[in-house]
Amino acid sequence: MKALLLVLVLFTFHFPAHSLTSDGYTALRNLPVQDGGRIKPLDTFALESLQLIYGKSKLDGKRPVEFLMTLLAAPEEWRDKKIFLVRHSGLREGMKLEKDRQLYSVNELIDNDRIGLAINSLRGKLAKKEKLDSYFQAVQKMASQIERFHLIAGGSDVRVSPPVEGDKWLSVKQLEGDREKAFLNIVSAFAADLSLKSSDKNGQLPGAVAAFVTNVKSQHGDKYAPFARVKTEVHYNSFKPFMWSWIFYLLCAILVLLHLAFKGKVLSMAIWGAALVGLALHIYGISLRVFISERPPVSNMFETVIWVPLVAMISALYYEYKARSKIILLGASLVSVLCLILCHLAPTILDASFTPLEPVLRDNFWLLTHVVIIVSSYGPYFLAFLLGDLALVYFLLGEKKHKKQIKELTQIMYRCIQIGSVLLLAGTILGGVWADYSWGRFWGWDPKETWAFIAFMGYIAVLHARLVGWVKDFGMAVSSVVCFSLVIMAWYGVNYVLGAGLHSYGFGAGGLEYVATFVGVHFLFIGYVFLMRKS
Amino acid sequence: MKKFIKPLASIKLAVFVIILLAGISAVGTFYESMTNEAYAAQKVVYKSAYMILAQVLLIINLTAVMIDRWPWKVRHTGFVCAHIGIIVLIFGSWVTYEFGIDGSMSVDIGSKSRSVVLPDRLLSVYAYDENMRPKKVGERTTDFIVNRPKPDEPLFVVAGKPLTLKEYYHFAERDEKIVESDNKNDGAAIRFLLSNDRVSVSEWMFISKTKKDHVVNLGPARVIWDYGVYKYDYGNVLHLSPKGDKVAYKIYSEKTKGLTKEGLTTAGSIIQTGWMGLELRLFNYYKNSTKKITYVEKESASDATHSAIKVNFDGKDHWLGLNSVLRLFTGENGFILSYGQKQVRLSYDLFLKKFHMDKYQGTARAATYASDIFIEGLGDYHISMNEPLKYKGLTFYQSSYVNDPNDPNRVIASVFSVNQDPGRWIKYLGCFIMVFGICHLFYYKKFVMRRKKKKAVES
Repeated sequence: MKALLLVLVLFTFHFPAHSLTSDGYTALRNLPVQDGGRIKPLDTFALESLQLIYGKSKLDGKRPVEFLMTLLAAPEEWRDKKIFLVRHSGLREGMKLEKDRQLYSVNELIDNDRIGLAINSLRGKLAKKEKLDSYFQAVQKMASQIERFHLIAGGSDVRVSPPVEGDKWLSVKQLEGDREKAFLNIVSAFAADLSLKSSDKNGQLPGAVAAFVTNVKSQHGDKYAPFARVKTEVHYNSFKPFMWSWIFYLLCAILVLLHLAFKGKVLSMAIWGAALVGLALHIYGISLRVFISERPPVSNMFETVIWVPLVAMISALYYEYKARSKIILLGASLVSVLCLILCHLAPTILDASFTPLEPVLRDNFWLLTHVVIIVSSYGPYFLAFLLGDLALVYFLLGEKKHKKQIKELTQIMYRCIQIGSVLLLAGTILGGVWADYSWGRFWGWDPKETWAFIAFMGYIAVLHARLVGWVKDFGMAVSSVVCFSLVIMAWYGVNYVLGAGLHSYGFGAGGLEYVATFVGVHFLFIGYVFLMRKS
Repeated sequence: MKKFIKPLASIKLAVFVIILLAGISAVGTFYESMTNEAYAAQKVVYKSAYMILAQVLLIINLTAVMIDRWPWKVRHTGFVCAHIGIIVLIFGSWVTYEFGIDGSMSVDIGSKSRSVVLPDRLLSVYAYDENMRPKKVGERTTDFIVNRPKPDEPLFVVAGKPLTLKEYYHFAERDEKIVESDNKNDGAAIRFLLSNDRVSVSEWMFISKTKKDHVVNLGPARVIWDYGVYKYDYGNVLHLSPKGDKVAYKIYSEKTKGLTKEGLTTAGSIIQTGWMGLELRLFNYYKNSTKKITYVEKESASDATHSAIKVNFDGKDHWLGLNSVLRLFTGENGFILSYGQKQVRLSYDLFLKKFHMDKYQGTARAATYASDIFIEGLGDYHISMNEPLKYKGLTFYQSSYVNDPNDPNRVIASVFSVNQDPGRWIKYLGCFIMVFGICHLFYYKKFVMRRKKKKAVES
C-alpha cells in the first residue's frame, strides 16, 4: 500500500475540520468490515474504536467514521492529539502522568518510562491467568486502546475485503491491484468530501464506495457480506431506538405525576399513549438487535439491562389495565428510564457491542430459557424497589394522609415480590437443569447461581416474615428496597465486582462507585424515613 | 409432643435459618472471588460444618412445622409440598455429594486414557518389596485447607520414624533457586546481567557433569557457559567458563569474525563487551552449586499455583508440590511419598481420534468444539458441547481443551468432565414437588375464592 503514502502527503496539507456530505457519510458507514468474529458496518467498527479510545461517540464534532478515516489516512496528524482516555487515577499515578488530566496523546503514552514495565507485568499475569485487579484492568484497557490506534493507523487491521482462501479478511494494507486502487479512491474521495457542504450531492465518495463494493462483489458475489444486516445495524446505530424509548417513558412518568395531582380522562389517555409508544420503540430496538446478532435477546450484560425494563413495563401495563393503578406505571416508567439512560450514558461500562458468545452458550434451549426467566424476575423486583421508594416518600409526606396510596403500593409490592420469586426460582432451577445437561452438575456453588439463591432467600425471608405480621406496610417498603440490593449484587456485582466463576462470559469492569452510591443513598434514605417516622 | 415441636417449628427460626444460609453463601462467593479458586470455596465454605449445620437446622425447622400443622387439610397441600420438596432436594444433593463422581479426564489427541481425576487429594507412601517394585504401604485423603494435622501428629510412620506435616500452602508458586553447595561433584553456576540503555537481560546459567553447556540466545548475541571447550563458529559470542575461583571470558565479534577480548573476572565485576554499548555484570559465581526448590505462598490461585506441602522426615525438611513424588531414604530402605489427586480407573480405554474446533471468523476465538472418540464395545462416538456421551453409568461432557504450550494455535488434548450422579432424580423430584407446592400456595387461595364467589352467584 505504498500509494497510500502519496494520498497521505496530499492529505496532511488540508486536514479540514468539516464533516462529510450526508450522502458520503451514509455510503461510508455501510461499508462492511470484519472485526471481532463477525461482519459489521464500518460505522460500528469506528464507533467501537472511538468509544474504546476516547470514551465517547463523538470527538470534537467528528463522527466515528470521520475519525476512523482520518486516522487511517493521516495517522501522523493524530499522534499528538490528546484523545486517549486514562480514567484510572491509580494508573495515572503509577505512570507518573498528570494527576488531574484524563486525556493523553499516543506519543505521551508510548514514550512514558513506565509503560513497558506495566505492560510486561500485565503479560506475565495474563500468561499465568492470574486475577487482574483494577490497576491491571486499567493497564489492559490502555494497552488495547494503543493497539487499536495502531491497527487503524496503519490500516493493518481494518479488514475490508474477503480473502480468496480461509476466513480472515484482508486489511486495507493487504489489498492489491484494482482493489487497492478502489480503496485509495475511497480515501481520496473522503478527503475531497470533507471540504464540501453537507447537503452537496456531487461528492465522489458514494461513487467510490459503490465502486469498491462492486469490485469485491465481482469476485465474491453475494457471499461478500450480509448487506441486509449491515444496513440494519447502521440504522440501529443512527436511529437509537432505546434513547427515544426512554424519552417517551420519561414523558409517561411526568404524565402520571400530573395525573396524581389533577386526574382526568385526557391525561389517562396520554399516559397510555406515551407508555405504548415507548414500549413499541423498546421492542423495536430489541428486535433490531436480535435481527443483527442472529441470537436470542438476552446474551450479555447490556441486553439484560434492556430486558428488565421491558418486563417491568409490560407487567405494569397489564396491572394498570386490570386494576386501574396509575402509580405502578410511574414505577415502571422510572425503572425503564433508569435502565435505558444507563445503557445510553455508560457505553464503556455496559458494552453494547455484539460480542461473540462462548461455545457453551450457543444454540441451547435451556440456556436461553433460564437466562430469560431469571433476568425477567429482576423486572418485578426492580418495580417493587421503585414502588418501595415511592411508598417511603408517602411515609415521609404523612402516613395517615396517604394511607390509601400506601396500602395500594404495599399490595403491588407484595405481588411483585411473589411473581419475581416464582420467576427467579424457576429460572434458577432451569439453570440447574441446563448445567446438569451441559456439564453434569446441577448445582456447583458458582457465584452467579449462589447470588441468585441468596437473592431468592432474601425475598423468601420477607414473604415468611410478612406471613406472621413482622413485615407490615412500612416493612414491606423497606424490604423491597433493601432486598433489591441483593438483586443488584446478583445482576451487576457478580460480574463487575466479584469477577469469578463459570459465568465469566458476562464479566466487565467499572461503575462500582456509581452503583455503590446508588445503594448507599437508598439505605440512608431508609434510615432517614425510619427516624422521621419514629419521631 | 406439640409443645416440644412448637419452638422448632417457629417462623422466627425459619427466617433466621434462611438468613444464615444466605449469609454463609455470600461469604463463599467473596471467598471464591478473593482466592480465585472454586475448590477452596467449596472446602472452606460451602461444604463447611457451618453450612451443614444450617442445612440440618433447616430440615428440622421444615419437618417440625409440618408436624405442627398435623393433621393436614387440602389447603395445606401447597405448604406441605413446598417444604417436602426442599427436604427431598437437600437429600438429593447429599446423595450426589456422598456417592457421585465429579471428575475430569484429559486425553491427548491420538492416544487413550482410562483415568478420571477427582478434585480430592491423596497422600500415599510406597515401599519397595523384595522384587524392588514399589508397593503401597499407606494412604490418606487430605483436605489440609480445612483440616491440618498438628505438628506432633504424624501423617505416616515410615520405617518406625514419623513423617510430619510442617507447612501447607494451598496456593503456592514453585521457586527454583540456585545455591552454593559443599559437594565437589555439583556443577558450576553463574548469574549475569547484560544491559545497555535500551535492553537488560538477567539469567542464571548452570552446568554439571551431565549438562555440559548452557547457551542463552539473546538475538544479536549468544552467551555460552561451559567447561572451556567452545570453539568460535559465528556471530557475537560471549564465552564464559569456570577457572578455579575465577571465571574466564572470551568475547568474539561478528564484525572481525574472531576473538576481540579475553581475561579473567570475578563475581561483582563488569566487562564491556564492545557490542552496542552492552556491558556484562557478573552477579554470582558458584564453583559448586545445586538447585533448591522452595514454594512461595500466594494469596490467590493462578495457572502457576498449586498446593504444596512441607514434610519433615528423619530430621530433614522436604517440599512436595501437588501431583509429584518425593524419594525418602532411611538407612538401606527407600520410600516414595506421593502427593496427588484421587483418580478413578475406568474398566475401558477412551481413545481420542480427532478433535474439531470451529472459530469465529477471522479470530482465534473458539465458537464450538467437539471430540471424536472410540471406546471398545461402544464404537465411535462424537462428543460435542452440550451433547455428552452416556456410557456404563458415567456421562462424558466436552468441557475444554489443552493448547500446545509452544504453539497456542495447536490443540494437543481434549478435556472431558466425567460425571456420575445418583442423586440427580432425587433432586429433580424435589424441585418438582417444591415448584408445585409454591404454585399451589400462590394460586390456591385465588382459585378457591373465585369458585366460592361463583357458587355464591349461582345460588
